[in-house]
Amino acid sequence: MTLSNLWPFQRSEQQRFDALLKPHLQQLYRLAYRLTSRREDAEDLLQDLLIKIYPRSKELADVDNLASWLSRVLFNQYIDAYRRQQRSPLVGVEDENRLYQLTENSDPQPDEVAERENTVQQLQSALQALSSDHRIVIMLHDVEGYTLEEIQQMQAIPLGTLKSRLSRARNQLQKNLKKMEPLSRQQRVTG
Amino acid sequence: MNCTDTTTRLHQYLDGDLSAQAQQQFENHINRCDACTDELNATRELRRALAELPVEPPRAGFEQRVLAEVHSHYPEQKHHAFVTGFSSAVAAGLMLWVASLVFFQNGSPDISTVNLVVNQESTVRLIFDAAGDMDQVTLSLELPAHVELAGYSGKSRLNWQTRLQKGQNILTLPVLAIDQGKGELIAQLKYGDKSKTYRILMKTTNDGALNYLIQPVPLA
Repeated sequence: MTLSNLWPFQRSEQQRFDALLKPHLQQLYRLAYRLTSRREDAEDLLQDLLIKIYPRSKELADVDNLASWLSRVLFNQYIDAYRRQQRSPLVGVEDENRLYQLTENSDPQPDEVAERENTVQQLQSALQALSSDHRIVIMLHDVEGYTLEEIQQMQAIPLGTLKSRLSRARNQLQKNLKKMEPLSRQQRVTG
Repeated sequence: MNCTDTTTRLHQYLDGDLSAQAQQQFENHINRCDACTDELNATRELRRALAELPVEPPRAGFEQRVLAEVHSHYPEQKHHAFVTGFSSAVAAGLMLWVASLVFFQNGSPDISTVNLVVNQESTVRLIFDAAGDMDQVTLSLELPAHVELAGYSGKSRLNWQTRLQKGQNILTLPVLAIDQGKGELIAQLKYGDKSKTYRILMKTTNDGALNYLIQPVPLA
């Protein structure tokens, strides 16, 4: 029996690369943003990642879990490009766009808007005061929802170390917050 | 379990990492201790606030911009001549015409189902059964608005000439559902003054799955 392929068009390497990467760009941007906390830095980080991996585009098609692989490479790219330069990753806390996005979605009442904006600013400040390792593990686990196993793969550190780090990071974050105003109405009542 | 034991296990409790026994002891203490209940509520509130930390969206055109930048770093050689010709033909909307006779060995509807996920490239295969070799068959595709061929973004109509060999001829389509929706992919074979059209209903489901059903129509 003859089985001939009627699809004669070979996609260019660029087209194959775009098709492979496009479904992951938004998630990668989120991760980059959590690591850098600045839109411009997040875009640059992702741009650098894409330029770095393009020569390996033929290998990408065979990667089992491409999303996980890309997250790991992005994280390493961040470590290489940003931590070595010791640039402060959490800046721009007063960014109006960020607050705009926060208040745009749920159309809350004005006092609720002010409270939520205050909550975000306090959280950002408390996170900024953490060490880089602590901030990253909280950003990945408690903010973005990566599992410890996923973070372990990303950072290549033992699970036990990661659990201890997360526990210490949470404790330190709560200490940082207690030095500030109450986080929310709930905490003003209870704290 | 006392207050110190309880407050050091707040995150473990919220993560669901306590053993059944420890969880029971934790909840027993919480139920009779207002201070620890307040601590639990405050920790829960913190976790909620962390999970809702906003993400500043990328600037407009971000995806196109970063990919274009990659392309500029790695300029490609000119595409294969056939692909270039194909693109031109599509742009001009040309329909090639050939004269002879077409015959399909299997005239019964070919019904297939495949599940795809929105924004994830998948492969759809259409198999045409031919009784004999046929040269210069024109194969054309018209795509619904929510589906595109991966790598051919923005091209909703494609047509090209091909050759059917006796037996099964497979058309492998790299498809991408770019949005939720419902519409028909129209595949048409033309051979001489005969043609055969397949209308393929493509629709995404709420969970992003996409099903298609091939329903051939009689020869024109």
